[in-house]
Amino acid sequence: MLMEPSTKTDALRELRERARLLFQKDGLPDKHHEEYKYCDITRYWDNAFAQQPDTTAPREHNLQALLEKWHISPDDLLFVFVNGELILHPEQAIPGIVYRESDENSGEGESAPGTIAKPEEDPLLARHYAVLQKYFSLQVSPKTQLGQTLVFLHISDVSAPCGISLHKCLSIGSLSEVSVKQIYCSTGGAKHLVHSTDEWNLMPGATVHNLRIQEETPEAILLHHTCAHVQTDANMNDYLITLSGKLVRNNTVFQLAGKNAQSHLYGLYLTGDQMLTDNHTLVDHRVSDCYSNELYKGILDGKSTAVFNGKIFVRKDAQKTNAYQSNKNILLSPQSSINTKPQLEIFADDVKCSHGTSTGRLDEAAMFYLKSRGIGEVQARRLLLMAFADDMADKIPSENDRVMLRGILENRLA
Amino acid sequence: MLSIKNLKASVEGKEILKGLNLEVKAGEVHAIMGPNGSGKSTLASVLSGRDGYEVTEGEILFEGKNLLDMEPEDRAREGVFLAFQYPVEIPGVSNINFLKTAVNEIRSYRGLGPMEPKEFLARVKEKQKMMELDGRLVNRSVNEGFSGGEKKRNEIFQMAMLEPKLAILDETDSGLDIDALRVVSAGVNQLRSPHNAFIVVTHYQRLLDYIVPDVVHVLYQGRIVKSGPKELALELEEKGYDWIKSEPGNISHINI
Repeated sequence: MLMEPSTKTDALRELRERARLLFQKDGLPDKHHEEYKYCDITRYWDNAFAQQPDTTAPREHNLQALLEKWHISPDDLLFVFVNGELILHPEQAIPGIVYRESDENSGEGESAPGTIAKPEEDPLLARHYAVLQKYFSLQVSPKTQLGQTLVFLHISDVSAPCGISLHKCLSIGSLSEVSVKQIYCSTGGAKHLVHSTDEWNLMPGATVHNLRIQEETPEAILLHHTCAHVQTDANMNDYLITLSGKLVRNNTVFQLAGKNAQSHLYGLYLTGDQMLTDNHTLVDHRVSDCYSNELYKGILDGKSTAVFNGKIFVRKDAQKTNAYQSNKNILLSPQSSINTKPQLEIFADDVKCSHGTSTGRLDEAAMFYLKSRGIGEVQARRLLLMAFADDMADKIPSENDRVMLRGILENRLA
Repeated sequence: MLSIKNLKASVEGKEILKGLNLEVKAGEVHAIMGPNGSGKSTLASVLSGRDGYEVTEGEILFEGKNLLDMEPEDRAREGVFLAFQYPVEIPGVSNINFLKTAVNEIRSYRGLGPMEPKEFLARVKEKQKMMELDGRLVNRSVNEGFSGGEKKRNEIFQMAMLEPKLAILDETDSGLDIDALRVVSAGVNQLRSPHNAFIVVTHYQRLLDYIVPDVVHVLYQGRIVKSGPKELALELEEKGYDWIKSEPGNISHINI
């Protein structure tokens, strides 16, 4: 249910001011910034991103078609954001869940923005907070087993260049379990920026399945920060599927902050012509006995570039850490390239960590084997690419979403 | 069915086949034997269209069509099948999906619609039983985690499903124990008919006890230097290849 506004607060205004000073000082990151070496934001920037989207008259968009495309059913708890505005949310109260939109006049939600993803941590986060006017917060009560999927459908539908801001604070109570499906898609053709940040707080024993699908137009720039504070025995599962956009930059930061906390990061990115996708992940093992696993896979086509930078940070006291990471890429075109960099920074001595990366073309021996059985080039490629990508679809817990993703991949890889 | 004339082929600039001639008619089984490095596997690779083999001279006609002009998949669709010496593992592609795709691609080439799923599954079941192949393997990824024997049985299982006109068995007996050899051979024998033909490439006479050939050829230094009835295989087993090397007509091909 929508909560009543609480007491008025200046917290958001103060955060914005703090961020504005930082942003004034540091500006947008360019290639001289270590974390943006292959992703020079200044090259993609447009002054029009400072413009607000024309939300007073959102153009007609076919919501029904999008619901079908993304396998969103009437049983799902659906939140629709158009150009950053929440235009649709469940009519009925959902037991165990409260949510609200907050701005500086309506006061704070249950979780204040800027506490998990801090503006000091990243120049783009500073920019994000510097322009943030409002945010959405959602809180799940302890011991809530949500049978339905929470769906966040973010549609950009703009006719003139602009910037869209989205901020969500999601707090998941102890021993609760939620499945979330987030779609980022654009229907309008104009150049625009979607700047989105999710701050997750997983209380002890909470479990989250967070499926994110990004399908933006070739004119769109999506900057997406996902930061999770994962407490004792909690389990954060992230499934990130990047399908299109001009530039898609994902900063995914998981803090394993309580014993036996776990995180699973799965990513699949498909690139097409003139696309840059950059996945920066950081798994921060702050305490002992935590487990993290990460697998990112990419299929690169056309004149495109992908970046994978996976950092695993094991702090001094984080003994008995298990941390695994793998990045695999297939390059379909000679004009495509991948910059992949695993980074392990380990300050504890009793840990098990591994990382690996592989990049290559389609397996020629396998191609020949398939052809020798009468399977043509197109079908042989499709079989091998589907096999490569399906490994990722397999990880998604919901049958409905697996079917959806396989359908998308079948179309895309045919 | 198959007519190879004066075939010369090189790998990385090195000539391996040096003027090979071979005629295979429908209903026949030809065994090709020969010492290591004589060009047996090169012949199998050239027939199936594997990359990296350059044909410098000669021709291969398959049912009157120029095989060398065809892509590997078209050769298969025309009815040529290679049972690999080293079957390839393909993680993530299930055997059943692989076979269904192959069957339907071949049917489409021949102007037929996809096979009815019911008929397809019935055939899978029948052929899998024939090859004593565990049903679980059929649903697993192609060759992934299969034992050596299972891989070879899977090759013959695929052959049974695709019903080629000409099957080339490239050292199918290597790495097989006696039971697997029996199963593989029985499978091949069941598929023998007046309408198809087999080329069995092998090092050892043992396989030919089970798959009895009509003709045995000895491949040496890139040419067929001797052909004879099935008894020739026994003679080779007994005497080795040295006596062939020293036969007058063959000396000239040895570049010492």
